[in-house]
Amino acid sequence: MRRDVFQAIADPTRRDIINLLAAKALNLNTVAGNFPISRPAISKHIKILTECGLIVIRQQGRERYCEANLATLNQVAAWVEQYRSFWSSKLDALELHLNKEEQTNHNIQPKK
Amino acid sequence: MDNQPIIIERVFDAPVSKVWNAITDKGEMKSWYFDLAEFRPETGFKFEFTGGPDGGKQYLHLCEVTEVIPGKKLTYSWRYDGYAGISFVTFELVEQENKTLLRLTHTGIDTFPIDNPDFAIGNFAEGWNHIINISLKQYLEG
Repeated sequence: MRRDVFQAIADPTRRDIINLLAAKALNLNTVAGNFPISRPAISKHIKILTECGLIVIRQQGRERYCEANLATLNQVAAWVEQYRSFWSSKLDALELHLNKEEQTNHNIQPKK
Repeated sequence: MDNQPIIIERVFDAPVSKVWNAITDKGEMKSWYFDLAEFRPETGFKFEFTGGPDGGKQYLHLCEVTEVIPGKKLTYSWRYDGYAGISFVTFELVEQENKTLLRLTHTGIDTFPIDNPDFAIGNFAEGWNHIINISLKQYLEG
């Protein structure tokens, strides 16, 4: 199975876990207490998030705390954003192209 | 299927037929999109073009038309020669009182190997940004 940031955010529960941890590092029990699903299911999501580099687990005394590693998320945003700006610009160019044709048709009778 | 599709909608002050021609006619595509050797809006039609940063590495884009509803919808695959991953670009046209709503959807971007150095944000994204910001600017002002 893929273990990258895209895999990490593919699941809605995992996205919620990231949102929760983005505000504050929490121990596993507290994270699990925020969701209506079983603790083993939460543990599995946490494991995937850890393997994908989105959260880091730190042992503090007897507790294990989960911390969000948000820098990884920026990878996704930047990657997708560059395509968004690419397409926006292409559509700008398309608009210009359509307007240019419009003008040409007004000024010169089309010979088609 | 996709975690991060890009969807951009734009209304053009032109009839659907005109926008359809602009996105499917090779001669028109050249002036705003890419200079293709050939293009036909037919399922199974394959085409390719190179694009990338000016003076930098050029990426060969491989595309294949996967769906055509004349005047309404055009989808083609979009991938890079020699790299894993495949994405799909869809243009949908909807008539709106003599204007045309174009909905562009690009899915599967997350299948590209972003951990590959060639696709690192610094190399690849900035390359495209250069094309967009410099080349397009010249086109607009030229």
